[in-house]
Amino acid sequence: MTRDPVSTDPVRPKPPARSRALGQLLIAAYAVFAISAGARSFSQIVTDFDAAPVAYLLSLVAALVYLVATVAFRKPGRTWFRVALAACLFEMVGVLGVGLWTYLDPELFAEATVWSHFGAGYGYVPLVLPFIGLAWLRHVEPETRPAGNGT
Amino acid sequence: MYPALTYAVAALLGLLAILALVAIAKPSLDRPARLAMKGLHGATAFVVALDAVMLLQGHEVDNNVTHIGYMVAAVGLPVILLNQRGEVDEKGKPVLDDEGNQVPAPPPHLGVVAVCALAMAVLVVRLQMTL
Repeated sequence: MTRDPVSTDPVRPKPPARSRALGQLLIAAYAVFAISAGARSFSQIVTDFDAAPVAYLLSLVAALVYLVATVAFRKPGRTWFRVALAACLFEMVGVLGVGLWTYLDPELFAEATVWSHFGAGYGYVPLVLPFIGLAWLRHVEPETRPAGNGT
Repeated sequence: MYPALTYAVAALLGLLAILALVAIAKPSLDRPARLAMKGLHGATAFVVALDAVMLLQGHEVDNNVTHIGYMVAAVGLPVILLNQRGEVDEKGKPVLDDEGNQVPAPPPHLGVVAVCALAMAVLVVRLQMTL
């Protein structure tokens, strides 16, 4: 029996970033939004899709982005770092673009989405979240570099 | 359902969020905050169970899917946010102790408890509002 595929040293000087306070908080906040946006879009699409298809599909996209970001923040490694970065950037563009759009052309979105009016319906947390996520990713980026390339 | 009970649970969840934030600065409140979270998770489950009984007795709500979504989320959110997984290293492999057992992860940060309590309070209020 071999233990090669696992680490046997439980004592580490510093926990990984995702286990530290801000990392845990960020993951929790993204998980809450993944659940709330996902449940909202599911309910809207199942019960009343024809009323506002663009808004409801956008809610679904937002939910998927939050879900991908939640998973990517939790996972170690360079690939997941890039996935998290892409998700945060997409989310930032989404909340700014949709936020602006809902003021310029309110008719397009007959029903509110998570990103409508820059996330006003959720206390503007959707507007703040991608910026905190990007700042956190910038902070932890050195940890995700492959060994021997950590300068 | 019982609005007074539901709003009392929501208010206590709000207070718990504050307690958890205070406990970050005062470690002596760490354990009471975590115990209160478990107790209020139970209270939330009780509220949801009462709600489910009402639905089963034929009570009509405006939107079943939305209402049931709030029920599931109110009970399921702390399970997702606060459950302890085993430690993994930076390569995603489990960290083992000398006996080969996976080292449990430390309990979630109190800030996560606060976020969870706040989200549960919102969900419980929405549950009552959509009844």
